[in-house]
Amino acid sequence: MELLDIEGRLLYMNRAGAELLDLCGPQDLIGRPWLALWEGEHQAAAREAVNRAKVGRRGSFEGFCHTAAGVARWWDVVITPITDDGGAVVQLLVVSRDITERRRDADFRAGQQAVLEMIATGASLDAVLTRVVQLIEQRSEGMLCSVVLLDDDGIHLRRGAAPSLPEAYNAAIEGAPIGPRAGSCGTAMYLGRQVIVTDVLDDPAWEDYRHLAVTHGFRACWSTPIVSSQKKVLGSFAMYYSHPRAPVPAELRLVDVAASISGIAIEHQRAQEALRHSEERNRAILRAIPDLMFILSDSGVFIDYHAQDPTALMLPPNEFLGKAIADVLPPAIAQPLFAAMKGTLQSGEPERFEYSVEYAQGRRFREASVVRLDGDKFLSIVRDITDRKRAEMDAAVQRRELAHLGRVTTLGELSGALAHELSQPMSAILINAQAARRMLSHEPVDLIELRATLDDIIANDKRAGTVIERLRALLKKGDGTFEPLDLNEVVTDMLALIHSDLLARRVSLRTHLLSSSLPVHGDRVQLQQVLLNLVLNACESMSAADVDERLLTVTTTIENGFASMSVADLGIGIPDDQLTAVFEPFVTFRERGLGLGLAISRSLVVAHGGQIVARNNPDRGATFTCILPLRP
Amino acid sequence: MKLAVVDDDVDVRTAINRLLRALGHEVSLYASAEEFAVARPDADCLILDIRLPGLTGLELRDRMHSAGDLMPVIFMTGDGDRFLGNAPPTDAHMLYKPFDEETLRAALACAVDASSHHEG
Repeated sequence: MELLDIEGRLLYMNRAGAELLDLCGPQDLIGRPWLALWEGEHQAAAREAVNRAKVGRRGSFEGFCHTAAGVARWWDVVITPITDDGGAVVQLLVVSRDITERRRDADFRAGQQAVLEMIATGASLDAVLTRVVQLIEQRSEGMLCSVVLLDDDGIHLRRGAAPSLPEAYNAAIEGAPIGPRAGSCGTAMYLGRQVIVTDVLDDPAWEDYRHLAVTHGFRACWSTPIVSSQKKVLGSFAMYYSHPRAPVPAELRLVDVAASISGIAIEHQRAQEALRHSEERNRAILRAIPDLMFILSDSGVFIDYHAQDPTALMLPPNEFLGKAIADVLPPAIAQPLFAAMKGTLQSGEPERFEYSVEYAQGRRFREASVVRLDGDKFLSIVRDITDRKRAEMDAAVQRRELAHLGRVTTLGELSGALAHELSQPMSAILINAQAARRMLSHEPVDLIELRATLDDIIANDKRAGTVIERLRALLKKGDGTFEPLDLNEVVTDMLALIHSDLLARRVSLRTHLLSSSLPVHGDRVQLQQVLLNLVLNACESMSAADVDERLLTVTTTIENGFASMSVADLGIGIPDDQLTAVFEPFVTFRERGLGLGLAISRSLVVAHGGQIVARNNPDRGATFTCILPLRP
Repeated sequence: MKLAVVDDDVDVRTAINRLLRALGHEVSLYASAEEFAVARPDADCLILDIRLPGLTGLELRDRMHSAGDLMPVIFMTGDGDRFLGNAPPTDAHMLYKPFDEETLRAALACAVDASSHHEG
């Protein structure tokens, strides 16, 4: 409390006021102008308050001044006028309240807020940590702070922020390993807990660094580890003093606050870095991916795309971005794309479809995989599969060539029997014709018998024609086009053709064909080739058997939803370890043939989406079964 | 003449029957060697297909020879170069399908003539 005269000179100051200003007594200031106590803008505020009081009103302000000891103190000042009996202002009563602590707390909170804003707005880690250090240093006179970081290796110290520490000191501890006696910071990080060293001269933690500390004038050092949310040590926050000192509870709380803010800053920066790295990685991966990618909205509008080679796009980006699928893609692509989007929506699994695009340089084949993205979008990854497709087509051509070669070879083996198959109707035709000529010379001509003879000639001509037709089909290369077939019909046609071969081989044939038709999708000739090959193998395996034991059984049925065609014999069987190998090329148990028959048969069956297996019968011989998908 | 014909193919059998009857022969027809063996008709000549289900033509001839049955035989084959693993019957009369009337008549004449010489 102070009393001023109307000119603003100090008339009186109470003892408490003098103590707060670090004065020996109020007499030091008596008679001096009170406004001179204030500095800068605070002096202006003080003057305005004094002026208000002079005219009989109440003046107030908040301001700071330095005490005689040089300590900054904040005051809440209220000036009240004192009037004489006539109402004239004669003196001014000044009541000042020390609000330094309150101001400091408010400043500190504002400082913390500012640091958090710096973190949020992406300021550099160095700037943030420097600000934290300065904020803490402001709390206490004579205290210097530092943040050191722990290297990713978990062993070595790295620079954080220590703007007030001597550069030589910072440089000296950079790269030092943490440990049980590695100064306050190195030890705190090593132990993962606060290390309070009240005097470096007698604390074992400073044994190796004592000289360094003393050289730079440090005696006390309190350090708190900075720990991540995953409890990983990131660094430490330290407070240095030039004299031996133990912390009071408020100071311990302060160092905890500092460590936790620093932790947030470091973690945030690491997370940003990780994010940046992962983004860079993603961009690098994306750059390396030759596939086209499209992001589509749930309504089928193109939102974004990736194309390593923009010429691979069907349209320039500005012609499809922001537009709907149906407006930019031809129906042949738009429809399966819609279907795939619908499919992946239901199944949650990627949906694939293939299509082709005509470019000036030629036709390109593409495979699109469609998946859900971000809950409400679709990602379509489009891969160029032209090379694979061409290879597949080449393989199909080769398979057809090989199959044809196989058929020609097999028919060569059969030629005797096939000649017989033709010679029967040919004989019937010739003999009937000559019989008819004889009949004409007998009077009266037996017209009924003559007509029957001519009918037989026609029938046998047709019979020969059928044989020739089947032979021609087998000898043709064929384009491998699939058509709806009845597997039973395929089997009976083939068996008719080799009827006389079986006779010649003295092999009895038994057939168990499914009474209803067996709808499959395939190439008639190729399937007949498979059966022919299986039948000839079966005959071969029985060639040494007694004539009455040469029994061949051909069966068709439906098994587990597949059409099945099997050929069983009572022959020599197959060594158990060769049941799979027989389908390999050039593996043969026949005296004749290249050993390609079963390899070709398998490739044909597989091309039909089916399988072919061999097994030995429980009693004698082997059974080859080929299964094919039923036509829906 | 009285002739027996064994062929498993009904069309061929019927045609041969017609021609032989038109030529004035008496004909009996059999679909297999077994059928013929059971019937063992009285005939001047047997026209026998080699390739038959069950007993083959060659086996039937061998059995007849073994049993001292010397009925003249003319073989028919639709497959000139295969004889089911057996040696071709060098002394036999052969008809290679398809054959015509003249060949058939010549074979008949030759077989029956050879037979009568043999008997004589």
